[in-house]
Amino acid sequence: MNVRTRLLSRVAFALMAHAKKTMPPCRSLWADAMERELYHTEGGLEALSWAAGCVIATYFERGGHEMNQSFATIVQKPSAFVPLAMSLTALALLGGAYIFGLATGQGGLVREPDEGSIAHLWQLLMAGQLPVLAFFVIKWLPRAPKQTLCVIALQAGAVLAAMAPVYFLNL
Amino acid sequence: MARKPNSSAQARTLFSVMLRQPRTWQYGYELSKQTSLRSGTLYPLLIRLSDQGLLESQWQEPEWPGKPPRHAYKLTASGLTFARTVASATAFPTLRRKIAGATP
Repeated sequence: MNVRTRLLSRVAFALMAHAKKTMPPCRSLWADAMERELYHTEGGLEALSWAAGCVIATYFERGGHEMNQSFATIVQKPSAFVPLAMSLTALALLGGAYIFGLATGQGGLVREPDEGSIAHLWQLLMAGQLPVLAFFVIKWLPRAPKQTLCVIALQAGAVLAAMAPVYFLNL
Repeated sequence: MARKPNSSAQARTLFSVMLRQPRTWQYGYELSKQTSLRSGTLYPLLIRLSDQGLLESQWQEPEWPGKPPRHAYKLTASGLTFARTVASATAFPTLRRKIAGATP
């Protein structure tokens, strides 16, 4: 095997390693099948062409796999559940402050002229989820529009729930 | 969810090659050479046909020592029926064109 063939072969195996990483786990058998054929290709250029094709095939499979994601799979993505958790934490924060206010005889939550630490935390939680939400929409809306819209509806519900006490209690 | 069986030009080529030796297990690289389909086209097609139950696959021990096992493919009974249907649907227009060309 000359230097050129060896180099091409090495590049082909590197491409194939990338293809194996790209392939969705449920299709890993197919990635193995493609890789094994690489050992039977004739020549370095042929191996390179085979491996490049396999990379394309794995990208197709990955794209198809992501398009077929269910709602449950998408809602488990950090970019989907983190904004939800932040809104619910903001709501819990207000709920906790309200209960604490009642227990200490301050009459629940009252508007302070100078915003207290709870108000700042609430604002941070609500504003902090915006970039995560934007990332989620950009990444998932083109791939699984229906499921992504369901998650966005959930997130909108959580945001409204966190904002409702501020509106109704005039905080 | 598996996509519906299709009769694209690539699928037809693959079926025609596999119909030549319907009982023989065939490897991806050999299929690629016989069909002139690149791996990037062939494997998504093989995967789809396998999902649809038209193709069966199995790992086979290598022919030469030192080489890893290979994944081999064969049409299933339903795959054979489908491939023959696709082949006949393709053959008849050609036949019709030939007949039309021969008519004075």
